[in-house]
Amino acid sequence: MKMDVLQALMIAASGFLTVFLMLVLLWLIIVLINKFVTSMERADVQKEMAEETAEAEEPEERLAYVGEIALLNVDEKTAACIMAIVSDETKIPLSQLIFHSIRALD
Amino acid sequence: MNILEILMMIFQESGFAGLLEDPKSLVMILFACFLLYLGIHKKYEPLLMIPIAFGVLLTNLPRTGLSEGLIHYLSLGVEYGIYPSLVFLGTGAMTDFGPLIANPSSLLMGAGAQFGIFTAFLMALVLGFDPKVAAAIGVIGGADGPTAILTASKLAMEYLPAIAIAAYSYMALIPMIQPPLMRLCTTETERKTVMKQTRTVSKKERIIFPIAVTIFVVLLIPDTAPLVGMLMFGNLLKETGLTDRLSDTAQNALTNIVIIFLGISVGAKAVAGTFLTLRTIEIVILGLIAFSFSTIGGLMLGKIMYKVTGGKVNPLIGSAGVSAVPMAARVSQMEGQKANPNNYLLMHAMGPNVAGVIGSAVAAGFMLKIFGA
Repeated sequence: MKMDVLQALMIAASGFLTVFLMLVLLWLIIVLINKFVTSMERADVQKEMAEETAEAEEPEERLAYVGEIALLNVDEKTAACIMAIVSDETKIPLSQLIFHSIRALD
Repeated sequence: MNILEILMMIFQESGFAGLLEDPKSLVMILFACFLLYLGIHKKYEPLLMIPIAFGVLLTNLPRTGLSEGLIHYLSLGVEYGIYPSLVFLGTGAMTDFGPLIANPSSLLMGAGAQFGIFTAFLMALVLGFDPKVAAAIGVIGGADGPTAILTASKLAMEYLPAIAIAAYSYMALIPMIQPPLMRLCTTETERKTVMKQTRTVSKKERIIFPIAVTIFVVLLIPDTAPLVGMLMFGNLLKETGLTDRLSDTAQNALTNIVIIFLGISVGAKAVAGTFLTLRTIEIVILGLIAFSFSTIGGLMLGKIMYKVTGGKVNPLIGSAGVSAVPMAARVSQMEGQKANPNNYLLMHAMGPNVAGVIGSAVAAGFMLKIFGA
């Protein structure tokens, strides 16, 4: 295999250029990866913040519901005791329980 | 048959009689002992130098029949380019691309440090080497042993031992070759430059990087697949954190086994007939030229970046672009501290250093593309 001077110079120059272009392309890829990951992380943070806000709002809704319990032949003090006992027995916090009605049995 | 005749027969069939028939083998045995001295006493890349030296020794002991048996089958891993790729798998599992991802501009210095490959290629052509052989010799300038071996096994099998020995010898001599060039090409003010700490790289970036590099680089130059593909696969095993066992095997057991096979096989190719020629000396000299020009290329890119960034980049990290991980980065650190004791360049130099691994693999892929057909 023979090669003239010009051809050899062309191959050397194009080889060096190829290496350069490839590594410049990798530079761009790294920048794109960084942007992609940053936007993903930002979206995750926003999602977490939205969930935290929703959780903070939830107890208020439940408290509002407490006011809608139908008490049939039961005074408020007894109803409060019953709700506390149910919470204690089931090991579920009172804020996570919903009572529709409390009725005294004959 | 008397005792004397039996003793004579044993001698005539022994390797000693073989040495008398072919005195060149004796020279090669002495050369193998010299390489063992370099590896054991001087500690020149002992992990590869000692297996290579022992391969040279074994193959040049006459009448062993090893070249038709054990050595022949072990050498298939070199001929088919399997061992260098597996070494790259282990290298990938050991490499931290974090400094490169944190400072991607260091890729330019990794590219600049491939200058020696193409300079040595041209010089080898001037010396009358076949273009394929010249391409394989040039890759010594990448300062990456497995890459040089893979290229030589595909383009210049007869010169493989000379190329491999030159590559690993110069890699070991980096602390001696590079510092004078670094001081010659940079000013005192440039060497004193203190670089800012780089940003923290997230786990997601570390995981996406090897996948993206494999897709883009291999699609663009498919001949880089055995090196870049395995390098990035090894790195992915490390970065996912889910394949610790595989990563550990790639880094330790597999790499160690492959290095033994690779060293013995490469050394065993060094037979007197092809090795004891003027061409071997020319290859050794061209290897030194390739290393030197690669170092200068990286430093020049470092100087350009120093100017462009207004003195924020220390040009000394450019010389680390000649792969040789992490030796070249350590040399940048040492030279930086000599100029300014408060200079900590190691992590900054690791960027061009690992970029050089990719750069030399791309350069080798280019040479294989042009001359491999």
